[in-house]
Amino acid sequence: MLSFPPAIQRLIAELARLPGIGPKTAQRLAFFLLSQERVALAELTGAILAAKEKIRYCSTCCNLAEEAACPICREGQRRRDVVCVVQDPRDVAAIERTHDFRGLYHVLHGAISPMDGIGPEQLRIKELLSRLSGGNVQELILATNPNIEGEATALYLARLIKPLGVKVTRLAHGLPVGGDLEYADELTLARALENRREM
Amino acid sequence: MRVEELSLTSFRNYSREKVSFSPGLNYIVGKNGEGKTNLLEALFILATTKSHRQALDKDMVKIGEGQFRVSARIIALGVDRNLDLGYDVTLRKKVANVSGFPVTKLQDFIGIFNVVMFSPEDLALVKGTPSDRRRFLDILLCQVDKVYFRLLQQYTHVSRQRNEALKLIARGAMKLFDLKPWDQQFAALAQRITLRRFQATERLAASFLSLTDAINRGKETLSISYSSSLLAATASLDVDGVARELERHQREDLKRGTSSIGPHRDDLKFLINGLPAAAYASQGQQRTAVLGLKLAELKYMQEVTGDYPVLLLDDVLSELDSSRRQMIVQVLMSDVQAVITGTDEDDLSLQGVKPALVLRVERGKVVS
Repeated sequence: MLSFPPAIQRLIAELARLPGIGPKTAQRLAFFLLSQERVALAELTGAILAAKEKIRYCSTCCNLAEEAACPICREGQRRRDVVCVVQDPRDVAAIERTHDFRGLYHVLHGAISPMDGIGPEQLRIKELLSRLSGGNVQELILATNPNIEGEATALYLARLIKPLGVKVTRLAHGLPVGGDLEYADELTLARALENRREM
Repeated sequence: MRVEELSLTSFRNYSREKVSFSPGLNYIVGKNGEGKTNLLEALFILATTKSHRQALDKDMVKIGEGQFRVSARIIALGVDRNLDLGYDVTLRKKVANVSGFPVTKLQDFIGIFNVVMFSPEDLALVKGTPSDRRRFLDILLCQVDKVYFRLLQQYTHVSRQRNEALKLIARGAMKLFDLKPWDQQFAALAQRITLRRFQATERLAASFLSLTDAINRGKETLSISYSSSLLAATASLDVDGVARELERHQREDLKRGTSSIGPHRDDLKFLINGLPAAAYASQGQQRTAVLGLKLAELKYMQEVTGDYPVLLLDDVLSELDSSRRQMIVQVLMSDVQAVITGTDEDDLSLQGVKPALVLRVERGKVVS
């Protein structure tokens, strides 16, 4: 990389900062970009800047939106008494793909992690509490990731919100549908066994 | 379980080597520093993905090379498989294959091939640190219990988060209220790990007693027991009990910035006539104890997996007298494959046991 002109080195270094991009991919991307027409590049940089300018947080659920309220919060036929708490806007998209959830969301934008300096104050928890104080929400579904930080965030929220008289539920841990039992990950299987239900 | 063939590429002092083993007793003989232990280390890595000497992966790469690779053909419960593990210094990554199929999660590689390693460092186990003895239990359990391995991984992760939280609270940068989610997860994992170690120790203890008694012949009683930092205080080990103990130690934990109780503080204790052996065990007693523990481990693995692990003895025969060697001989009479190293062929004056194969090692080459 040292044999490249400084401008290219800088471009490679910037690209390498992107998640999932290593030095080799960054180099490939840099040379691809250089080979493009000026117009195409202006289109790309314009799109990046426009996204950054236009995107803000929905005033209700903190999901990414272009207006004060996101499309889901604006939708009239949704149940307003059930709120599903997720870590990330991508989790909203994932749950929406099921077409089974007709309530609203709340996006925390992260999970509690002392090692990364992320405490409750760094997450959109204050917004969630003020939402609950409205009194319309009957059930809060905690859909944070089933890992250690996601679980800690769920435990934290449950302890914080249960005293407010809101029903707090957690997504079930279980086996992937359509899979074979023998290929299930051991810990998942152990959890599923632990949380078995009567039929 | 047995290993048929082992191949090494740029591993330790080996450039490229292929070794075939006999199903019975294999004796590797050579002077010190020629590469006998490295062969055992390679087999240990194929079982656990790590070095028994706690060496760093990059230190196992032959000097001047960028990657090592160890492969073996093994037969476990009658099934023939090829295990292959490579490490790349620049990528800082291990890549594993089983019979030509890549293993995406390295943890799925652990436990396909089982070994029991007995090396000279183990002789210090009785008087060594509790962490050495916990490591013994962890290596055993991780090989036969996938859930245990995952629990241990999660426990280490939760412990680190909890320690960080404790430090932040002590500094006033975090509320005490916010510690609870970490306590809850810590308690749940601590309880499950402790329980599994207890159960394993109980099983080991039974065979340990009969194995060591064969040497001591009633002169004295050697035993092992699991000493838990949690159970000393809680009558029955349930998650709520652990959570209460955590609460009781909270002030101390905040002061130290680490968890003062939990399986990471436990010990596997050796006892002589019921008294702690660490303080006064003689050389002979220590040897009997460690040998008994390793052979109990062998039996435990056989009971759990249905197949004997491969026994790896690194230069320990010369350290044992004839009555203790007799313990090993009895094992070698059964269905166990063993790979033993020594500096002298005469060392192998095992009563009535002849090695099925003698391999001579010289400067990173197997010469016969």
